[in-house]
Amino acid sequence: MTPLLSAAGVTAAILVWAAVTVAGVVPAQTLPGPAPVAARILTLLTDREFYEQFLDTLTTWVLALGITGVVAVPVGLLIGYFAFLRRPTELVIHGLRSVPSTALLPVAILFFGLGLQMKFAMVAYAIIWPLLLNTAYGVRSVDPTAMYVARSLRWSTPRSLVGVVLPSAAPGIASGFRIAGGIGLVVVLSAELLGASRGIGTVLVRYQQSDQPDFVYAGIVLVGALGILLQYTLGQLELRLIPWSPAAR
Amino acid sequence: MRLQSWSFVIPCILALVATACSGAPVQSASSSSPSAAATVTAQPTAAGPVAVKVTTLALCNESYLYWGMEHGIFEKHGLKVETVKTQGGSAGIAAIVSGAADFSFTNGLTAILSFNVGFPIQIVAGAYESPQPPKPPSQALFVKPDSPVKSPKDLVGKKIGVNELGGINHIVTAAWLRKLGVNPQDVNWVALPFPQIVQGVVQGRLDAGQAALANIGANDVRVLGDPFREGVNKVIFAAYLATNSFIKDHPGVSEKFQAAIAESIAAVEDPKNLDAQFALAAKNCGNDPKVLAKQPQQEYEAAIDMATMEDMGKLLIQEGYLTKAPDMTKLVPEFARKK
Amino acid sequence: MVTGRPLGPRAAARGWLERPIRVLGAIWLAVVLLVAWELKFRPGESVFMPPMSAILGAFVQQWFVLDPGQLFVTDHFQTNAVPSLLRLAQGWTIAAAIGIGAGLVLGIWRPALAFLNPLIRFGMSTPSTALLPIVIVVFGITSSMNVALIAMGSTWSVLINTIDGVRSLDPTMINAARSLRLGRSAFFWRVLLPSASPQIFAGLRISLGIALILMVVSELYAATSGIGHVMVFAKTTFRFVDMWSAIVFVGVLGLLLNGLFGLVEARVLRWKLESSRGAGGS
Repeated sequence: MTPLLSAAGVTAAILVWAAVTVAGVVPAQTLPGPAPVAARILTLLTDREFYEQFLDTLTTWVLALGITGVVAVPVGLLIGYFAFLRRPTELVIHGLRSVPSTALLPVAILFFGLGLQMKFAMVAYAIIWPLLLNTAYGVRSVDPTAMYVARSLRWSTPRSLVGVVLPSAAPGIASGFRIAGGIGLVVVLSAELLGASRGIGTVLVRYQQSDQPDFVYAGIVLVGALGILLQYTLGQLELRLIPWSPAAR
Repeated sequence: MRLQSWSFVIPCILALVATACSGAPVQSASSSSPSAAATVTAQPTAAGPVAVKVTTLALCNESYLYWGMEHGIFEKHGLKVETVKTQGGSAGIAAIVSGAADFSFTNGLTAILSFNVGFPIQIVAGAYESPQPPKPPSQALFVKPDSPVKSPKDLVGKKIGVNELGGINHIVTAAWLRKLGVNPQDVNWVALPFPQIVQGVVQGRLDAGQAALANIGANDVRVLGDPFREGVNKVIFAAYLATNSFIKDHPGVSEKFQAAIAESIAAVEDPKNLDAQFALAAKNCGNDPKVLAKQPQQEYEAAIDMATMEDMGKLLIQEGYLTKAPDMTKLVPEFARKK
Repeated sequence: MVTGRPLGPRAAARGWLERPIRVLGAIWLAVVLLVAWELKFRPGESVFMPPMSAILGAFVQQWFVLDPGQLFVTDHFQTNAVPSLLRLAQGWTIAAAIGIGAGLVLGIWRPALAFLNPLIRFGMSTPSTALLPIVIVVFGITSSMNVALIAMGSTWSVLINTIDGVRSLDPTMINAARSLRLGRSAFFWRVLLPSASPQIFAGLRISLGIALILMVVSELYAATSGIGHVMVFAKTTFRFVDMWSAIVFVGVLGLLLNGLFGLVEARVLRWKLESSRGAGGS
């Protein structure tokens, strides 16, 4: 039933889109109808160069999410666990996470150039904060009874961290990854739209400059589809790795 | 269910590994830390050409670049050119300072401003200037056909679309308004990509817009004039910059680049090559050759006119971006100057 | 923290130090980072990164002025910061209202959620800057356009978190409500909403951060004033001190907003924290 409903939802959206274009609410030069966009989607999917740019974006996303995650989760655990670290770090984090990556683009280009490294830096900057914060919040929701048991078993701090805190914080960490995944994709695209030399965003910009909106929206639809796919993948990973998470209910 | 969920993940991981192993981030090999601005990109081999990275905006105007690469002109001068796509001139400057590129395709005003702020750059070659009479104008300040705006003087308090705040188009348009007695501060400047500016004017979202005639294309608008003709003397629309350390560490390479650009320009201006030139440019910039053929051509010029540089310095002072013009002789080395 | 034990004389004498020490305990990391910047980026070291002292100096000078008549803020602040803040407030409020409203409906009504789920996931993944042309056409080049972009970009986290919050309602609660024969309205206001509220607040906090970022990003193009407008103009004309001053402004703004939000959140969720504390939590 659910997949049928979802399909119905998508169909309804496409119909609304077609209606808006036909009615001329938004001129065709700004928003083409679903038919031309669908045709362009097929063109792009069979274009080898687009596929390469697509992989570039995807690679950046995976690398950034993975490596930043590996750094952020241990640090986040420490921040959440040690009270004296929590307040000063949260202060700095809330300040720094308010600054858009795009504002730091010139600095990023200066330090890292125009390629993968720069995009990685931009995405890492954008997603490290939700990862840190969500991990720290996850630590705070650890079951005190479990900590009590660990303490009475005389577990050392590192062992408690890995054996009790980490599993309890895991649902919070997972939700952090989902948020970071969503933000990460948007930031990669923004970096490509605004300055990088490779990736789907650069393709979109090229079509935007040459005033071919049907290609631009074809690209956007594909990016959205990628986003859905990535979110689904993260959700599935969470189900596999953290069966005790509330999301599995 | 188990197989289904993992089946999404495995192709993704394989794709990641495949791309990583194929050495995708080649360009990052050349980027270095900011304190070591010396690039490692230009590697002179014993007998082979020197590899250089040149930023490009993939514009149709860069036809000479495409021609030079296609017809081996750069190779003739001992250079192997690789293009690096950037979004704008200032990104190009960041690219050469960081070492991600060697030559940056940037407009003249941006070059002066960055030099003035302390960027270690010089202009090594020209690309094109704003066309002077008798050549037809290439830029326009335009309004909707039925707009109440009859002259730029009527634009006080109105919204004008330009492609970049503080960019060359904005500065020059402001200069024209100032010349007509309008204080540019009394106008609302809005930054938008060129196609959006055109659509914005056509749909009545903007009171006026500034873009190249090439961007306007077939859209129905009324042109008030060309700010680059009426508002200022000649300006250098586009040129190539390099860092001081690149010039010092690779003696002769910048001179060769300038000579190659000059020869490529001569080639595309040759009437014999017109059709082929349009076809090649169209292929690289994603446009139609017939459309390109009808558009006004730029004033290609590979050497920098020092008088024009002085004029641009005065323009920047007049518009409040500079208090004192920098020493243009330090910005433009001997070999790049017009004799 | 209240133990009911009277303070001894030594502790009482130390009492006046407690406040400053707590403040110091919170800001030491920030101070360390600022000092590190100042030591690393001396004048002339890098054109893009001016010394922190120069940035802070410009920051104070550009945005604030010692004049009570002007409410201690400069004209520059009034022309640019005020419109930006207004857009942020309007955009985020709309996002919160839509997010919570739609989230509650979709959380309760499963079929509707299934219907809209792909569209929600799709909307989350598109960068708002890609939708700029459409928004301009619909709203023109006015503040409403920025508000629309901010609202469109920040609804998602509120929406999704609200849906999650509603769906993770403990089944025992539902049974308890049923056995107490709670009416629909009472169930909603007394059981569902309070249970989902921590999750909703988490979503609101995230969306506030996103809204702030979108406020700046939406002004990089198609705006005639604003903090983002100032930032991009400074960047294009290579006035990096001004650019960093605007960035610091945004950072400080983010800190203040988070602090305010934390206070409101603590107040509203007070009962929740107390009940979990009573159960032996820390």
